[in-house]
Amino acid sequence: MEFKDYYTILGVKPEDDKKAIKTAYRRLARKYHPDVSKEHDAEKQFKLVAEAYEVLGCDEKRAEYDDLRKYGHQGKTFTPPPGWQPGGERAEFSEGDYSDFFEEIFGAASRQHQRGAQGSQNSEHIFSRRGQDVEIDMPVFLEDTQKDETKTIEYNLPHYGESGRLEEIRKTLKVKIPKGVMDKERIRLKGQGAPGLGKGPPGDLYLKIKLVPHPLFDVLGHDLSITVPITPWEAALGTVIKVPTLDGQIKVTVTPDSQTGKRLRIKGKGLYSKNIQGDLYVILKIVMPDNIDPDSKILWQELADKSDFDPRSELKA
Amino acid sequence: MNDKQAELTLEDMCEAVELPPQTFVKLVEHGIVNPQGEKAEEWTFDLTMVSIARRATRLRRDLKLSWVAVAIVVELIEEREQLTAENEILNQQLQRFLLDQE
Repeated sequence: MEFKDYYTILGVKPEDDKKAIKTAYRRLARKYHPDVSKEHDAEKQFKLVAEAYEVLGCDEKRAEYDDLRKYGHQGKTFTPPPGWQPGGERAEFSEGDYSDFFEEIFGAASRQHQRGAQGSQNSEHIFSRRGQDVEIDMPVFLEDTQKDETKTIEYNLPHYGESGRLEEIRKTLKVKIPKGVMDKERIRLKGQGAPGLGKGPPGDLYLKIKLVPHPLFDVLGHDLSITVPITPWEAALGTVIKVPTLDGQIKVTVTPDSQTGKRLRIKGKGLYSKNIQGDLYVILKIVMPDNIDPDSKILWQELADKSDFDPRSELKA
Repeated sequence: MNDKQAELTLEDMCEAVELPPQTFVKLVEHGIVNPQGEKAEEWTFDLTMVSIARRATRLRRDLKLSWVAVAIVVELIEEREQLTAENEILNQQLQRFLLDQE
């Protein structure tokens, strides 16, 4: 096990006082807290910082740690001295948030193991605790939100093995994704989270729905939008175009003199969820052919000569 | 097994965020989570409130914030997430109209 130098982690000196340690912790907590940080490994960094402060911010734990620090050396493999007994009270912090190093020195799991080995009574009762809830992202295709869909998911659960060490177990589960789920919605699967400690019940599994971006449709609440290219002459003269929806193609009338960016509302062709049926917006986008053949060029030229349309009149000073 | 529509009681929420009811009530008092129902025993919470409550508890514990500060931070984070999501959609829509100059 690697020795963790909590002083280095917090960027403080061993002789620094409690106030300096607190200031260093606050600064790093602000930088790495996973809820506010944009650093890519924020969660991992924050756990280290929180663990370091848990020890150095408490006089009793700090004294214990300082003793051990004299014994162990940073960067070297660390084994607690023979007969080492952890002392200070463990603060409330989720299971599995500490490093092995911390668990060995101050951890409940290691304490449980030791007490068990000494034949202590009621150890199961003392350490019974509900398992952790687990939240995982569940990517779902837009089409799959409009029907009851069954998906197989695989996920890892934190679990304390017999040795008291934190391990991961792989789990596979079939899940029904109900019709009408929306982006960021949660599905709770009771009892499918991490196993409990001792006789504690297992935690729950929360699936957070993440809509996979669709190549054609953009989602805004219950409404969908699709950008449909049309030719300049279709925009000028009007036409009927075929437009894809989530349940097959429909015909849409484009009126003459249509502009790029014009939105046509198709009622009831959006997403269905919670008794609300959204709409589909068809957004027109006028496109030019990549290459204009000589015959077309003549026609465009004729139009240019005859038209007095000035789209930039407002730009003139 | 699916529990999507199920709403959570105060007891469920306390269990999920590992807080005693008297502390959890602070989250409601500060408007961090908003249950349906008048009295505490009638309260029901929708599932998204579990992660909000967890986030609030984490922020309070890790950054040593007051509940008032937690309420503000949680609201700002949510607003930021909402704006980021909205921005992504608008950007996606914009990209359908823009062409890169060659």
